[in-house]
Amino acid sequence: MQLSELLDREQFSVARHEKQAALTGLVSGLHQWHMDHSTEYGKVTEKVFGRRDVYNSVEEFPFLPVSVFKNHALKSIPDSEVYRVLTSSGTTGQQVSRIFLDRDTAKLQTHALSRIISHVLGNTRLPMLIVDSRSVLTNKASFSARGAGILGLSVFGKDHTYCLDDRFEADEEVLSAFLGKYSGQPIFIFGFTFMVWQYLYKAALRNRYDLSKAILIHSGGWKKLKDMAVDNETFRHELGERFGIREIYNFYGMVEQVGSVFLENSEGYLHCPNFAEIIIRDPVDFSVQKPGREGLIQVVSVLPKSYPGHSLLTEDIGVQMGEDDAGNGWKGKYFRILGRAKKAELRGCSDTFKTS
Amino acid sequence: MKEQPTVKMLSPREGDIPLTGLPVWDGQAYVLRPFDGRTIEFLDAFSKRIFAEKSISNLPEIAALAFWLRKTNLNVLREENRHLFNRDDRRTSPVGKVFHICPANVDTMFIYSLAVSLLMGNRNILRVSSRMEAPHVAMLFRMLNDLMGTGDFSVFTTYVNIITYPHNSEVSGFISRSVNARVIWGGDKTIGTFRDIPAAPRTKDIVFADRVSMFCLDSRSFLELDELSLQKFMRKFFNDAYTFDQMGCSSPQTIYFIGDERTGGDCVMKFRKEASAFLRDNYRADIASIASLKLNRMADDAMDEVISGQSGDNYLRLLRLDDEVDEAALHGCGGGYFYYRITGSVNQLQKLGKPKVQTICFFGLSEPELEELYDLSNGEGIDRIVPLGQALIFNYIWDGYNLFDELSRKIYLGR
Repeated sequence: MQLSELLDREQFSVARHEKQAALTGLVSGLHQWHMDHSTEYGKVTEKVFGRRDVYNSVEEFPFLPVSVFKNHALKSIPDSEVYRVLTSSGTTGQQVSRIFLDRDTAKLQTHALSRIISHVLGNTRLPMLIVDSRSVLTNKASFSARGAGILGLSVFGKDHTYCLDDRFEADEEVLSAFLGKYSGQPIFIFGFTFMVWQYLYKAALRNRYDLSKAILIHSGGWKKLKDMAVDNETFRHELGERFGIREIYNFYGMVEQVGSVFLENSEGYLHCPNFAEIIIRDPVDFSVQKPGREGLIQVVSVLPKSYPGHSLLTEDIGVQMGEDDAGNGWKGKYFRILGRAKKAELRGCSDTFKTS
Repeated sequence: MKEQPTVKMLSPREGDIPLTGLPVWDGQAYVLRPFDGRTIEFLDAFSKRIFAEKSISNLPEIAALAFWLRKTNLNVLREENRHLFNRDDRRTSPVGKVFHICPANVDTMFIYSLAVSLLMGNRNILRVSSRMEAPHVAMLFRMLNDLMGTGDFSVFTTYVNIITYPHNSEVSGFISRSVNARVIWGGDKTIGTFRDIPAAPRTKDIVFADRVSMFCLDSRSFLELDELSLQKFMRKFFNDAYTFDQMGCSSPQTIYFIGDERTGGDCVMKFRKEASAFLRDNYRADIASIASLKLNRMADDAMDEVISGQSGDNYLRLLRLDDEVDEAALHGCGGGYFYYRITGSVNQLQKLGKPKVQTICFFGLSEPELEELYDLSNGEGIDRIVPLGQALIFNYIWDGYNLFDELSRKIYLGR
């Protein structure tokens, strides 16, 4: 199967047998391409995984650690073809990943995102309510993953309305005007998971609002909510109780792998689109874990061609929860993220003053 | 007027105290002589207290410390160092006040550092990391404080001052200008920090820099081990390499499998298999984080052409070194990440004679091979050559110093 077919067919529609065959062929092509065009990829393959000519399944290909893009500028295209450089968010002092895209890969990225989002939003642009403050775009100091995420998803909505003021308090005037204008119509709500919970769900609002026609997409991770003992189930339930929102999709992606965009399915788990795959690996020896057993999450995407990012081992720990059998009919593997591997703190002799 | 800096004192008693109020500055005469009977009694009493506290004395490094502090051992050390002070034309005196900057992880090391200095009659200030909050360390402090609180040993309150403070060049500077020697553990970075803090002109620095250590094993001897000896081997290897997550200066980074390519290859395979099995049962580590750490390092080492191949699992990774690489300065990511070579004979290890190399651990070498290994130390590198299982065991001869010698003054007596 061609890449274009995986992208253009209805998303979440390719079942295991067909998908494995398609991915093995496409990843094989990418592997060869990167072997020929990235000396770094070639070295890691040869020295860490061992060279081989034939790969029989997606699981057999080498995988790079996701943090490799922090220390190395990896690309499989000449410098003259670099069209855009993506950088990961990172707190001050941390090194950021740099991802080199050419025109083709950038185009594929946009297309892939659109295929996934339109699968739940439909093909028309809906009025879009953004649970954030407009200042997140203008304030250079804090312009980060949040700003980029909002801009990335804005193309799927119209009449973009930010419902928080500069102090991150719900602006009820804006909110009621927006909801009045589109009363009875479907709308698209987007925000970071924590922002939605803290500043929309927990907001002290004077009036009751009916958001039963809304489709909510949220992303950004659960770390802060976990600390507040809020899990996905609670999140969904509470938003349903307060605003009547039923269509809620958690969304997980990473800047390091173009095309790895996972959307929550009807079981509340993250679901692989046609063109990406996850493999759970045993942290002891990197062997493939059985479904139901936790391990490090490897992500595979057939999109990255301008840089060797088609097969990456993340530092996230997760479990595969099922495949091809989601209640909403989506095909493909789905999984749950349990957390992130702690940064190993191995302390040596040269360690007297690091706390200060 | 400028405010007096304060520090947190942990010993001889707990509490915040102005820096200039530390008992060590009390200006009284030095009453303790080198290997003074009172000091030996004090340390022996400390040893007894440790042994009596079962909750900590079963930790291997604590038990080793308690054994070292026994009177019998201290008397042996005095005999071994008689040449320093037992002559008509010389005397040995304390060097004076000693400032110890202690490492944060190797949490018994500072007690040895203190004990050696105390045995020579010096007054001591120890700066320990505020992160040293392990319960057994707190217990050691309590024991010391209890002892110094009793009448017999109250003299030691002006000899043992343990403090902690966040990095502060004003405090470090004041102490540095007021002492006669600084013992700087903690590696290159800490040494750099303290070299920038001027001490008095005659203050002597004893420094413990970042070092790299190796393990040299005879492949045939290993392959011939029976089951029981194999388990003993693994326990010793584990203690050397994994006690401080392979991050201690004396923990091996590179393993040399001595033998021809075929015997060496067999040994690598068997070693890997046995070690992995042992480690699964014995190494308590967050394996997911160690797995990520190692994959990152393997990718880096592959791209930098440090390694030519790898095998093992995330409890023990064996990285075959590229022929061109100089491993004498190579430090892995820790947690069981070993570079290795298969090497025909010991005398091919000439390159280990570099300042960076500290300890060579050996196993299964014949007497002539051992002699060859000793010969390698005649030059700029290699400060310790010890059998497997003793890599982390403290000796007063460390990093090229005889610490008793370093922490004393020799007085010439003309007749």
